[in-house]
Amino acid sequence: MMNAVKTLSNWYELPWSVGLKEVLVLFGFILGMISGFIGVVTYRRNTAIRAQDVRANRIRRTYDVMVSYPGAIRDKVLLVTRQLNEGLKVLDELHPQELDADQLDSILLSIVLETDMIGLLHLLDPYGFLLGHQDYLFTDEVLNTFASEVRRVLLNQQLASSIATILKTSTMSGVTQLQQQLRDHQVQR
Amino acid sequence: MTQTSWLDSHEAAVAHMTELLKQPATKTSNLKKVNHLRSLSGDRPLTMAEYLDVIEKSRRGIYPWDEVEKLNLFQRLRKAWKNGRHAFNATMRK
Repeated sequence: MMNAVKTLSNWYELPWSVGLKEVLVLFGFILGMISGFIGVVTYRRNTAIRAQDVRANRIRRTYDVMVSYPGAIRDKVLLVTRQLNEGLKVLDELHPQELDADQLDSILLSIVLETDMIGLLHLLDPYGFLLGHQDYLFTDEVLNTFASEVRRVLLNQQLASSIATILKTSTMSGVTQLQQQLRDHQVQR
Repeated sequence: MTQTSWLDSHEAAVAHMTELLKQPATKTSNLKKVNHLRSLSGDRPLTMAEYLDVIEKSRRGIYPWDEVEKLNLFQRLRKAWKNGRHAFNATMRK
């Protein structure tokens, strides 16, 4: 007991030395920490830069799509919408309740044929394909450019059966995707 | 848009539609019209059964954009994860 007290109270008088091995271990530890820190910082920085690149590409693609929605398609959409509205208005005046279902379908199909709906669906098909890949585009922003006008044609309740018969097992599968996107977009608003 | 159609003026539309109403319409004639429309986009003609199926579904208010394709468990999980991620991203961006 007394020996321990003596040793502790006189510790500064004790002889001491540091081995080379201890120094090397300590230095190695410090070097490891520094390199680990540098590694982490580099990884974080590279990840952030890559995220920026991905985001920039997404913005660029979105911008391209928004810009590539040309006036020609917009004119076409507006023309088809106007003609459809005209046709449906006249159909309403002719009292569709008195018509039987087949005649109603026949008239609707005639309207669809007259308005060159097929050409419009062909023009809109690629946009549906693009909007199916949500990882590469800001879908909402793309939809904002044309949803309000395209919706009136593609999500028209009265024409739904006619469009459905055209699109059943069709090669224009993008249009169905576009319709789904438009419906989701509508739900979100 | 130089081409004119009977939908461009109200009178012409009324006249044409009353003409159309005088002709009888059956499922077969409607299917012929549908197949003409489909041939414009290069699709195969529908059979009567498929046509009736589509018509029946839209009568009941089931639209093709509401139909969900059959997925197995993992595809559903993946889709749910994807939808959740997109929803989260959209919320965070707002």
